Parts: sequence; C-alpha cells; structure tokens
Amino acid sequence: MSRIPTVQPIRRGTVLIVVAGISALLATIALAFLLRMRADGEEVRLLIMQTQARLGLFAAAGYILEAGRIGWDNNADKPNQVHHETYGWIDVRDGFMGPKIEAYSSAVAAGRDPTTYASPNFPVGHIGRFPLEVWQRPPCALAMEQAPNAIKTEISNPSTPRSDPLYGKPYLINPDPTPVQSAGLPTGSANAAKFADWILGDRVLATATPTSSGAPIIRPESQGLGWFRIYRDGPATFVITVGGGATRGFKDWNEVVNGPWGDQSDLFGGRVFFDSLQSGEVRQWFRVEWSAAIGGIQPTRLGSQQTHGNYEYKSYKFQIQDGQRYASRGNACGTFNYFQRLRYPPVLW
Amino acid sequence: MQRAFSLIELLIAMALGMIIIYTAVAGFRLASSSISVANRLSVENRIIRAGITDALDKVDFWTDVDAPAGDAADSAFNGQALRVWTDNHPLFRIGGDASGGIGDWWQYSFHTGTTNDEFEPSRTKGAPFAAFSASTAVSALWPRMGSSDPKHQRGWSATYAWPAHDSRTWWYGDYGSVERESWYTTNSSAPKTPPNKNYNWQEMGRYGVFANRKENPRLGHDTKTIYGNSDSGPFGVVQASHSWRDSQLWYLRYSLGPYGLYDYLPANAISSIRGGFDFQHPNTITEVDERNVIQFSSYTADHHPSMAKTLAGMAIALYPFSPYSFVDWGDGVGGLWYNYNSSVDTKNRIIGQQFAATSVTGINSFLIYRKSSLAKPIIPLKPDTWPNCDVRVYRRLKTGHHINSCEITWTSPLTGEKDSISFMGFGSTLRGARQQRALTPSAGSGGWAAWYKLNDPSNDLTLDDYKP
Repeated sequence: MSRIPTVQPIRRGTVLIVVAGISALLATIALAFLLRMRADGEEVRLLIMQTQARLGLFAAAGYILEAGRIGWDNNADKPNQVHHETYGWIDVRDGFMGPKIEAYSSAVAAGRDPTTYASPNFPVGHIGRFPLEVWQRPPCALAMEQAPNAIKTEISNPSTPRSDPLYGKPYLINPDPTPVQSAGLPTGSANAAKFADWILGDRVLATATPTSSGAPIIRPESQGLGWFRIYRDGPATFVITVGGGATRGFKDWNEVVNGPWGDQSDLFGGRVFFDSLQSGEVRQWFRVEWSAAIGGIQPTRLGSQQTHGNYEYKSYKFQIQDGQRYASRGNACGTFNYFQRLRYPPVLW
Repeated sequence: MQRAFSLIELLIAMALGMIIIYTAVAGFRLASSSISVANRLSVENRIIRAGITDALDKVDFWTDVDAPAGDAADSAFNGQALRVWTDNHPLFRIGGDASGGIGDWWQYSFHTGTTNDEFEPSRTKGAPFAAFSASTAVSALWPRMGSSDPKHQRGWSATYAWPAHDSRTWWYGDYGSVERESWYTTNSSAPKTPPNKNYNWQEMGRYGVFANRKENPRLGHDTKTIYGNSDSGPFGVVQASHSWRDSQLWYLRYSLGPYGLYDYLPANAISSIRGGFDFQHPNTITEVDERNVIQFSSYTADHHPSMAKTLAGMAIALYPFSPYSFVDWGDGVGGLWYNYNSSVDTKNRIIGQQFAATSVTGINSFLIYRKSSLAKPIIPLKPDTWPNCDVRVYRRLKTGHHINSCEITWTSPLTGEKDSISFMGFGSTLRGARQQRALTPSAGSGGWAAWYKLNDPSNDLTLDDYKP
C-alpha cells in the first residue's frame, strides 16, 4: 500500500509567497492605474469647471444684453405695467442711465445729471447673482413640436380619413410654437390657472393654485455646476464674475450670512462646507462695456442709381450686401464694445 | 517507498513549470504594456487638456502676440512685435533691405506709393499694441487735444462709451453721393461728364462741411475730381459742424490698423469719413477735404461708405509678427512678409496690419497667419524626448463677430503621430487686451496693469491711457 504523497510545509510556503508576490504586484499595478485614472478625473473636472465658467460668461453677456431692453415688469418708473420695452443701459432717447420704460421729459431731465442720476433698475453699484440651474420646466416652456399644424392626411399622425373635415386643410388651429402645457386661452378660471402655471414654470407651490409663485423646481443633476454674477460699476460697464462650482455666486461666507440677499446660510449648512466649495472652485473676472449699437445691418444698398440720366435716388431697404452669403443678423439688445479678462480679482464685484 | 521524482516526472514538472512561468510572464508583460498604454493615453489627454487651458489663456490675455513684460526668447522683437511702431523699439526705423531680412519695414510698409495703398507720410503709424501716447520725437501717436466743444475734441477716452444718444457719435453724410465715388486719376479714360457713376457729383450738397476729420476743412479745392472744377468753385476754409467722430476713426486706423479700428468701433459704425489725401500722389499732401475716405484699400472696400463692423463676407485678420515672418520657407524668395503671393502690396498690408482677406483676392488668411505666427510650445524648454504641444490662436473679424480659432497640435506619446484639434474661443477683445497692459510697467508686475475699480487713482495707466 502506497502513501499518498503530501506537500511539504516548506513547499506550501513557497507557493504562498509566490502567489502573494504576484498578487501584490497586480494590486500595485491596479492601484497605480486607478490613481492615474483618478488624477485624470480630477484634471478633467478642472477643465469642466473652466468650461462651466466660460458658459457663465456667455450667459452673463446674454443677460446684460437682454436686461437692457426687456424684462423689467412693474418698473419703478411706471408701476403695474408689464412687458414694456426699455431702451438700454444708457437710454438711447435721453442719455440717462437705464434700463427704464419712460424717457425723461426735458422738464424732468433739466434737474438731473444724466451721468449720475440713478437708473430705476439695476443701478450702478447693484449686484446680480445668478446660479446656473435648469428648471424642471422653465417659465413659458415651449414644446419641441416641429409642425404643430401639419396637414392631416391618411398617413399623418394620427391618420385622418378623407371624411374628416380637417382632412387636407392647412388650418392654423394650434399655436405655433406650442406651449409645453397646453393652456388654451385664459378665459375660464381653469384655463387661467393653467395659463398662469405655464407662465410661472414648475415651482414649489405654497397653495394649491398655480398662481402662487414659489421656489422653482430644479433638476438635481444641474445644481452646483456654475454661476455668474454681475456688478454694474458704470453707466455701461460691468464686472462679470463667472464660476465653475457650487458656491452659487456668493463671494465669501460673510456675504452668505450678511449679504444683500439676507442670511442664506441654510443653503450650505455651514462655513466649513462653503469654504471647501469655494476652495475647489474656478473663478474668473471680466469687465465689459455695453453698446447700444445693434450690429448686423449693412446698409450698403441704400444708394443712388446714378446710371440713370435723371440721377434718380432710390432708397433701398437696409439689407445685407448683395451676394454675401455670410450675413450677420443684428441683435436688438445691443452689442459689447469690449471684453476684458481681469488678471486679478477687482475690489468690487 | 519512492524517495525522488522520476525523470519523466521531473521533465513534466519542469515543462508545466515553464508553461506556468511563461504564461505568468506573458500576462505580466501584457498587464505592464496595458499600463504603459493607459499611461501614455493619460499623458496624451493631459497634453490636450493643457493645450486647451493654454489656448483659453491666450484668448483671454493675448500673450501669444504680445508679451507684456517682453520675451527674451524672441531676440528680434522681444515678444512685442506689434508695438514696434513706437520710438522705444530697437528696430524702430533701422535701415535694411527688402530681401527677407529685418529691414526698414516700418518705413517700407507705409511709404511705397503703391496704387491704392493708404498713405500719410507725415505721421508715425501704430500697430495693434502700440500705446496711444507712445510718442515720436514730437508728438503722441494719437495726440490728445482738449476742446471746449466736445464735437471737436481729440484723443482716445477709455471711459467714453460712444453712447447712441450723443450726436457727436453719429455719421453725417449722403449715402447716395458717396456710394459710387472713385478717385479721378490723370490717366483715367472714363468720361468726366454725367451720368458717369464713378464720380461723386455731390448733387445733394457738400457734406464735407457737416462732418470732417478736420475742424476747419478747405472745400472745393480738389482739382482732381469733377466737383473741384470751376463749375463748383472753391468754398474756402469752413468750420465743420462735427470733427470728433471722423478723427476718431482716422486715428484708430492709423494707431492700430484695421483690426484695431473695427475692434474699437461700435457695431455698425460707418467707416466713411471725410478729409483725406490723394492715393495717387502719396508724396504730395493735397487738400481733398470733401472726399470720402474709405478705411481700406479700394478693392476690399469697393468704395462703399459702409464697411461697418459687420464686414459681411470679409474677414480682417490680426497677424502676429515674429522671427518666423522672416524665415525662408523654402519657396526660394525669402520670408513671408516679403514674398507671400509675390505681391509687394500684400506684404505691405500684412506688415501694416491692414490686410483684409476676401474671397475676391483668393488669399488664404489662415496660411498667412500660419506662416507668420510663432507657434509657442506650452513648455518652451523641455527634453527632446518629451511629447510636444503647440498652441495657436487665429484672430479675425468676420460677419460682425470676433472669431478666435484655437488650434492645438501635439505629438502623440503613444503612436508618435502628430494630431490636432481646434475650437472657437470666447474671451478678451483687442481693446480688453490693451487695457490689461501697463503703459509704464512697475517692477514685478509682469507688464500687467493693476486695476482695482472704476476711477480708482491707484489703477495703473494702460496702453489706452495718456500720461497726465
């Protein structure tokens, strides 16, 4: 009877050492790989924050352009009037600082210095802070409906039989563009509430009626990515601060607690958390000057027809130059005279 | 009892062991090479990220075309080639030749007498980064002169926003009378009688009296145009109603070049001004104060008065200047500034920063830029074995927009191939970049101007400011 050979203890130890060594080697390689990937992720995060900050610059520029011309409902100059047009940060009608609805009459303007008399909206020294978040449903949201009034046929969706009175008729029955929330006309009380709900966007409602405006409902994945902030330091000049991070545009903790927006410390829970957010954030400062010039129009065809013997002068409409494919459309909100990245944070922003 | 392995057992055990070892080594090598590949890909990604960050930095601070504190690596221009039209540059008006070497190109670019070249022999010309107050021996590049009447003031004001309600910012003219104006030449065979459309008959009046770059223009003395003949008669020296706007355009053009002109002007500013000079006789300053002066050479402007900031269909590029501009690229005729397109006219426009590329001319502004620009590596001093990464930013004005095309080129540490990506950047304009730079840099500032807040007396003066 033969004995079953057994592995000697020393041999078992050798195998263990070899296996442990290889495992350690693999673990080291894996760890190094993971660390490299993590470092890559960190660097990509920095790039994403820079990108968010640059997007904030776009958004801030868009805000300055639009806010000079629209959006000042219930203007202090003319309360209870909504959706009125304003005429720029330096009002093109009277040279006083805007945005404002009414031009000052000569009698009113006589006692005021246009270079210092404060604008009723967003005056010099005012700060606007704008966290960039996406609403669940923004105000006046429109549906991505390409053809709200498509002609109905057998192959349309839904298909329509020829007997249908709408068959083949190019009726403009539906609003174009189509609201996300089909509201109808605000005639009845139910429609009125629905219409108001659409106007306001998705909000946390304080009451059951959608006419109550509460805090907007934000898509969670869009929070804490970026913000911009605007400080008006002159009649037409602004300091834009853009950030890639989650501080929501607060300068520091002191401003969170004692800033013009009241105590907002509950947004962050505490100073330590805010400071950690601030330290990991990308911030950049720009200075810009707004101009009322709208751009885009090239009135080269307003000209004379001197080839005619009678020197007829013919006024063409302002249009792009003939034969130019790359027409530039004007921006009714104005343009910018310059953008300047500030190398260091300014004193006021 | 078996006390040892048999030979066969040993051979089998050794074979199995070798197979196991070989497999382990192969696996290890594979894992190792995978790690290497991953690392190199990671390095490549880092290079791209660094390039993007560097490109955005260049878009914001324009350090690729102007080094605020100078650049010793650029022995020819000290990194400030676009300031060379000032007194302080060592190459200022140094004599030379036109064979591709660094010569008197300041003089050459503006003193050619070439047909349709813009010309004004009595003044120093600027460049995109020349300080307005940079002086020749006698006067500032763009003199600031006060006047009790704002309609006749001179010099740039960095805090004036050209507000639309201010009547001095308006253009006063007659589109009809200037649209088809062209210069009369002594050799012209065109009939000088109506209804030739190529002459400005001024049927609607003499608008030179309403707005002019000169406060006191002399009207009716231009004998080279039909309207200066005896039928019209001289009006003599008159007081122009407005001269601020026209002089602003005039000095912007000559202080900064066309890119700077359109960077600084508000959108849609009509670039027509009155009060000029005679293109055909550059050596003689003639009084042609009723002429409409287009801010470009004739074929790009087509004599339209409205080459506004929109610039539909036309691009104005900002060309950097570097030692590479003088490198012979192997086409046998010298440096770019001398030979490109075999056109002296083109060369002059590039040097003078006054070139407007159009589809009409067929000149590729990108090629000009590429051959003239200094592609700066993001790590200038590095071992040869390290992967390379170059960043360029092409700046041009096109269809009413500032366009900054960023191009990042790198050598892949994985394959050794060159690759590139490009994207559009959005950041500081030329005016913003000039306002970043100190007129008189303080020690340790790196050439940057400190800015604390609006109207703060501690703010440094910039290239746009004047010394008090």
